[in-house]
Amino acid sequence: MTKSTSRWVGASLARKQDLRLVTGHGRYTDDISVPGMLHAAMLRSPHAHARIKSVDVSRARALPGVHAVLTGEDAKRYWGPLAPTIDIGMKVPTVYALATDKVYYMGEPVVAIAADTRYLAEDALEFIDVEYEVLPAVTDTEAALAPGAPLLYPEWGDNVQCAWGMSVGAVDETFARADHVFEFRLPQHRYSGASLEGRAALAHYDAYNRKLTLHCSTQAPNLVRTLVAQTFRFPEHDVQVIAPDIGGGYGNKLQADAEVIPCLLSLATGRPVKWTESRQENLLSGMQCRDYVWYLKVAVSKDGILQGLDAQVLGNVGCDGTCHAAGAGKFLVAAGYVPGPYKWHAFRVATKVAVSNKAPSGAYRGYGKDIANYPLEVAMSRMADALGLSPAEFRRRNFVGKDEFPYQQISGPVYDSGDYAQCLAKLLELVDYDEVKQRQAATQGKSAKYLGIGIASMLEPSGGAVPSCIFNSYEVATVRLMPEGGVLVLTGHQDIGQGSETTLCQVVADELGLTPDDVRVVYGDTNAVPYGLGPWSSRGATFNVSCIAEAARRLKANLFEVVANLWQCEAAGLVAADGAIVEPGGRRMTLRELGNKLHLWPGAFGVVPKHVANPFEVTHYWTSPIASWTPDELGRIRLYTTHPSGSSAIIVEVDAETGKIEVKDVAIVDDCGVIINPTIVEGQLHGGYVQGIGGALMEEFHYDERGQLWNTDLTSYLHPLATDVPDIKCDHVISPSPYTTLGTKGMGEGSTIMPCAAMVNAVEDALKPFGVRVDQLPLTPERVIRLLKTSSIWREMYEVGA
Amino acid sequence: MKFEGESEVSGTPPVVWDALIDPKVIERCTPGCQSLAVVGPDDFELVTKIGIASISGTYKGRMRIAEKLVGERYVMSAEGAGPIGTMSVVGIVTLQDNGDATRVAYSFEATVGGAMTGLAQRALLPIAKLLTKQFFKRVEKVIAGEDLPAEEVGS
Repeated sequence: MTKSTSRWVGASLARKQDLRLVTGHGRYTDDISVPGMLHAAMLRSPHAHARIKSVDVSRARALPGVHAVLTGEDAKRYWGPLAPTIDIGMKVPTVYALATDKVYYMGEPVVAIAADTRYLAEDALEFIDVEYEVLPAVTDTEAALAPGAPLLYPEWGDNVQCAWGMSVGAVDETFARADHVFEFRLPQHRYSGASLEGRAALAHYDAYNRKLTLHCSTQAPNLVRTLVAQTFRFPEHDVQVIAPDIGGGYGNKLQADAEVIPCLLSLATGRPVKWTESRQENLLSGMQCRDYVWYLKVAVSKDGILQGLDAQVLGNVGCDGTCHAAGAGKFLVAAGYVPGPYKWHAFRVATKVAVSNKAPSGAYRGYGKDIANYPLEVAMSRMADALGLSPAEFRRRNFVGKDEFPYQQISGPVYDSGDYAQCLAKLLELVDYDEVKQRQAATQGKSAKYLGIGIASMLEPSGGAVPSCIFNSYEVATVRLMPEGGVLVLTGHQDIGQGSETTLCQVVADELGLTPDDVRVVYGDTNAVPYGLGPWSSRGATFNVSCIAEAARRLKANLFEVVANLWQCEAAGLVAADGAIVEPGGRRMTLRELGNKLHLWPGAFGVVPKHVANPFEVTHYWTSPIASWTPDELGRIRLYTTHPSGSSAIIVEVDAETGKIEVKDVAIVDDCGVIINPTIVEGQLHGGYVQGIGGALMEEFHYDERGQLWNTDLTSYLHPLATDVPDIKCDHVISPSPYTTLGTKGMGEGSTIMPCAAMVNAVEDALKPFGVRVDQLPLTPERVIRLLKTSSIWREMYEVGA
Repeated sequence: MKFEGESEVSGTPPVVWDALIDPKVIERCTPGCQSLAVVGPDDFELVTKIGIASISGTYKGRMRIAEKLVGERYVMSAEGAGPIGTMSVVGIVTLQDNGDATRVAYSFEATVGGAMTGLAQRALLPIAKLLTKQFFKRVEKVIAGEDLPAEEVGS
């Protein structure tokens, strides 16, 4: 790590984008209208699983104002199937943007219409006649994997989209010799991110220019361009994807799924076509997530040391986790990271990913790290309880120690840095753990409100470099000096609310001795930026920050060469500070003077010596120094570069009469290495944690056994409100990563990873007098009461008529 | 979703019975009915237009009357599909003498599919009740030989 002057990195700079966003001057896809634009609407399947017997669109086609009515047969005839986003030994179904012979989930688009207005397009849907033959549906993960289950893709012979496993160490022997063996079954339900802005796409095929322009709400414009080109077998360089301001991503917007439908309609009509998803459409078919069952077996010695872990995860990706979106991969990540921040002697894991008649599955803030965290952290607290240890002490005995980094986990990844014990110690202090436990003891049984505290630690593998997948292994970006001395950063990394439009300016300002106002980040236009990949896997602070910091360093070195030549001095003695290149104690040239000299007065010939590399701009390629796709002797690979960590606590009060859980306090200690912007980091921690609380307490896609989704609006699919969440306390431990340029690590997902486990631990701690064990989420009041009813103590105390 | 209730219709059970199973009466009295085709004995195809808020649209369906116990009870089943989803209803209609009037009680089990599912519990029940009430009112008018109102809520 080279040290640079750190003036802006570490500063809580107000976000550059907030002026436009909070004053209502942001520009989102739906704000864009172009002349001649048509509007799209989609007819969606009312059935979860059905054969399409016939589709008659003749009446709709005849309506005045309707310009195109397309079916799956059209999609099949003229365009290709949805291009896969991931295929690491997976079964990839051949599916189209519009259903062809079968529908696989309720809400699947069957027919698309482009009309003069959205009203007309929606109304015209009524003139379409579809005949279905309803087939038996399967929605439950284990039912989908059971013999005799209805098959989504009969040619597969089963409903398994992928399966994988590994074994390291003497697993059976470890369990045979163990002092204690604990077993757990821990499922988690289906829920997902809820962006304020759903999906939106405005496609314009210009036949005279042979060019397809797609404005859409996406996290990864370059990837969407590739996927759209592949789906339409259209030259990729003739596709331009523009992502304006994005109203939230959370991993949900990392594919070209329904976005290709407006493209299809525009190719058919030659006119621009806009589709803005309704909330109902978003809940029906926007990418869903979670939905799995874990079986865990843990061997522990009598002194509370973890010995062996034998785990199996069964995932449910709905109708698909490869083409519609990349949901299947998260269960592989989960399997690789279930060992967590702890040390093990023996490890075995198996994962099986099932397809079912639910909406497709994508990424949502965690992509498997959350799946790895939940069962382990619940198990850790339950085992501590069984062993008579405090949950903190049991974790401390088993953490990877701060002096053991880089530490190779038994499943293969190399953990770069951290101090897990310190995170936990700081947390206990922040939340005043002992005081809470005293208060709990003093108040328990005095009223129907039971106080409880739960903790969870986490590991947030960041910057995944996944082979055979759109979530690949490099970042490329350009840093450009303008003639007037300002700097442009050109990046494929989309600002989706995480604030990279601001933080990247802080990074470049420090490298080049500028202020953040001297730098502008250009993103969201595939024709303006290099083929960088985008924000997912919390990779911004791992890949993109490193890439751009190094690009700025290389540009600075080139500029130093130019100036050293002008001044006939040593480049090594120069520094960049206060908007200028400076010879300490001597001459000074502002970047504006230098930019002018390079471009205009007199121009490059007069100032740039032949041996100097490009002083105008540097496009830099950055890849992980530690990730590796070459299996080691045990067949293990390393996909993640940094491993941020942390611990958090939730304090709840559970009303044993009503089942209501009140969240009284939340505290988070996070270690994301060097912090670029503390306010942004804390904002991410707060927002992410609230999403996790939502998943733990209320958010759930409620499918019935026929595959019908019951809650398709926000009055029945609930999210936490401001009143549901207390002030969140944050603190930090800073263990810089040796594998990134500035020592930064990811931090976008960590706080969403922890809350479900912390919540379960808190509720079980609160209800300890009743011996309750949570077997399902979300913990709605009804579910809490159902759990309490299993307790004879509770029945005696609270059941009417008992 | 269970959906039940009763209505009092002027007329003796034999008169009300004849009206209730008469396709012409069904066609005239079903709120928003655009057409009814008899495809077999007690087997009809209907097109109905509903104009209520979020479930507005044209619904096509099939209706059957079965297990008739003349003047007393029958099983009605119907299934339909419209822009926001599918619905199937099956249930028993019973007639009871009540002086000059007949008490018609119905008990249906409705299954909804598609985007309708989410609306089902909250919005659909009151709408179904409203439409059913309208239906019986109109039957009563037909029996009395009165003119039917041209437009009503929901049609």
